[in-house]
Amino acid sequence: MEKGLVCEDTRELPSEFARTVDGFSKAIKDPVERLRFLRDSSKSIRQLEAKIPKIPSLARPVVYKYLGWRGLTLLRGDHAFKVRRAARRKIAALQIAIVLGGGGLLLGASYGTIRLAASLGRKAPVPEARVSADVPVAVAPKPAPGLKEAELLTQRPNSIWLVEKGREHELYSNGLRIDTSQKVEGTRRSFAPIDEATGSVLALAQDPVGIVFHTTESDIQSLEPENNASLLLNSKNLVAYIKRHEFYHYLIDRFGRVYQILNDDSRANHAGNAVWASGGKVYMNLNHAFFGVSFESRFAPDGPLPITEAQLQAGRLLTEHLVRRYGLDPRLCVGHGIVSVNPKTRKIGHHVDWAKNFPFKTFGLPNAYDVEPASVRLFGFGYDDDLAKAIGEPWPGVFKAEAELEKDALKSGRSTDELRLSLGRRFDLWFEEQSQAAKSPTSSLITAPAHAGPGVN
Amino acid sequence: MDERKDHLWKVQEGSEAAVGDEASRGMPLGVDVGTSKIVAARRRSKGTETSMQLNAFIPVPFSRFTETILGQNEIPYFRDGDELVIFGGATERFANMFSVETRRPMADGLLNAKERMGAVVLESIMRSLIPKAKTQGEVLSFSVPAASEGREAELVYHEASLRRFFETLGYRAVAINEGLAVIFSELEDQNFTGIGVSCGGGMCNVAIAYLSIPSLLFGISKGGDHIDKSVGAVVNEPSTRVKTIKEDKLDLTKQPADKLEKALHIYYEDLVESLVDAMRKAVAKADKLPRVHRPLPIVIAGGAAKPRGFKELFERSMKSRPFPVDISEIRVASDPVTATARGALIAALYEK
Repeated sequence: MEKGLVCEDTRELPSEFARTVDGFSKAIKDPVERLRFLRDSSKSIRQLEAKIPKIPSLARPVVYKYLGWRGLTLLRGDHAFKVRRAARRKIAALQIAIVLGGGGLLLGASYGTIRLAASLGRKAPVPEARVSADVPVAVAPKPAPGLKEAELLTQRPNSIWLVEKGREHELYSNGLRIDTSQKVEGTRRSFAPIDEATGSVLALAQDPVGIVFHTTESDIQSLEPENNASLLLNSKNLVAYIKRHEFYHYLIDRFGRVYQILNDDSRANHAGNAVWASGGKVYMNLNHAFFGVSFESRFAPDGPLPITEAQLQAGRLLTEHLVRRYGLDPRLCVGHGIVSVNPKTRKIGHHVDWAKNFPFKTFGLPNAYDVEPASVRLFGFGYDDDLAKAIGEPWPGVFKAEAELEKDALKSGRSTDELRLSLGRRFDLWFEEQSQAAKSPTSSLITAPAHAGPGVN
Repeated sequence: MDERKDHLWKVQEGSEAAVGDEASRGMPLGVDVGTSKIVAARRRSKGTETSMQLNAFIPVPFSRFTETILGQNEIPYFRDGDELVIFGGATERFANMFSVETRRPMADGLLNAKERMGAVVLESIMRSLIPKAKTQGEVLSFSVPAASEGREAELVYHEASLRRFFETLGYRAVAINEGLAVIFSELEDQNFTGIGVSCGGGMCNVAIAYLSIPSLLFGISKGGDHIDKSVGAVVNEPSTRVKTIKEDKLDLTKQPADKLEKALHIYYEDLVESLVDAMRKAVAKADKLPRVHRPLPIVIAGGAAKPRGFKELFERSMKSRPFPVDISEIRVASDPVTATARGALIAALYEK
């Protein structure tokens, strides 16, 4: 039975740590956020509890402070913006101080301890299937030494082929079963990527290049036998709704059933205000170039994955199938939240589904959260407290891209804001160019440069 | 750009909203399920909104005329065979009118096993306060008492019954101890560190928390109802009438004016003595109290703590004998009746 807040872990906190978070929390005005900070900090230290005795006593206050600052960076809400920023700066200053002072025994120990704290203080990773991130999907992964017996006994086909095709389904050799009973033909794909180096609009293309993963944000019932009727009805209604609005190519319902809604050659209305880049090509408006694959689920930034085990398995198999069949670039398989932008406000994270916690590794895909998003790096988009409110801290790629922006600004003798402004103009221009090219039926050759590449005004 | 992600799914049809308008619906909800009152709290743009209903009922014989009168006066009721069951705020008025006792769906902080209609009435009262969840899985935090010795099984049943009921309304229900809820609502400035006391109708619940983590939770099965019944017995008055007088004009700082007030003073002193004594014993024998480096504040909430002079009475009792931990201050909650619900709301917002 869920006991909620009554039965939290009541073991005593290390007094020094308690004093540290006690002091830090005074900066937090909102009672809920203050409670969140205290509880999260307590959880962090609990995870570290067994390791504390191994940390040199001189370094412990640093670890406690680090955990406290880290907790402050996770606060939500507009009013906590300054607190978050100050905490981030303190962490950065601490890291710089440690790096600069490297070599010193004490600091070395502290650094190691902080790394330890950072790794242990993080949330427990979501349980993932054993597919290595290094292994491209197109190649069947070899079992690594030391795997458990059950894993060694499983077999995976070296290629994926259509095993059976019925009037309303397709079965593939990797176990993927697609319900095609609802499939419709939409508008044909047609898009023009932009060459990142030159800003030229490239030739029109019609083959999909990647996948954007979504959540449906629909009503979700818990998986209980008594909810059976509602679960089935929800899926049925959802399929009809998505079909009517041509939202996604594929839907994976709560039982892991894969429905194909739109023909693979068609575009879907799933990620219009979105930007992503890879391999020197920039894609703007991903409705045409990317598959839209949606999980019947509601995105949750915290806690376990918001999808069922069956959905996870089905999602993996579908991804594997699409990547192999269309030769998709795994680097172009991303979550909606990290590609979604608001062109009017020049902010990223307009939609936040899978802006966090997408199990890329399980899906055999490179971790897109580590990639600098083109929206920030190339077009200077920023983020606001709405994003922080929804997901906590943005994903690491955003910070990397912002650091690069700052370097670029420094090099060009401009402020970061000035640089962002000029990059924003580039976005408008490139977007217009690729839209025009995609609309023009004759445009199949490289057009004139829309803009002269990254260093422009 | 033609993005059409307007498919956030349609909301379920809700019942008549009792707490919050349409804009605030969908926000987490805190509910104090007390023996005497049920209080719901929800955050709105301008602060926290609370709404309460008396947790009592009274059956009257069915007649068309009575039913019409109840309907015309918008008095909540339902028909049960040849009776009309009036519940909520109007109950006391009817009880005083007919000089009979009100009946309670709960007793001593838990579902009243002796009351045949208890669960049905409790659900009706809660439905009148709590709308259906706007979307499945909205968070609702509800208060539960601490497990008193020998009643653990009853508490499990009580908590599970409430949770199931809230789940039928579409909420994800999370239980919070009453005393801890008081700490959440009133001791934020102390980083949720201190002693929270909830003096309700059926019980007094106490929690000691350090940085929001509870380290001691306990309760005594004495509260406002015990005072009402005891006073009623010695002055030969229905306890409902005693309750009305107690809530309307009792001032513990003044000399009692009559026999009834004298009895109220006596039983209030008895309640506070029992409570402080239990706190003293529980703290003294607790083996896992945090080593707090500063004196702890005590905040008292609940309807039984409302009469003027309650704080002074409590202070006197605390000073009469040494207390095992240092106390920095004793105060009554800003709004004692809603403090638990407001604390439960903070818990719900945290759980969101």
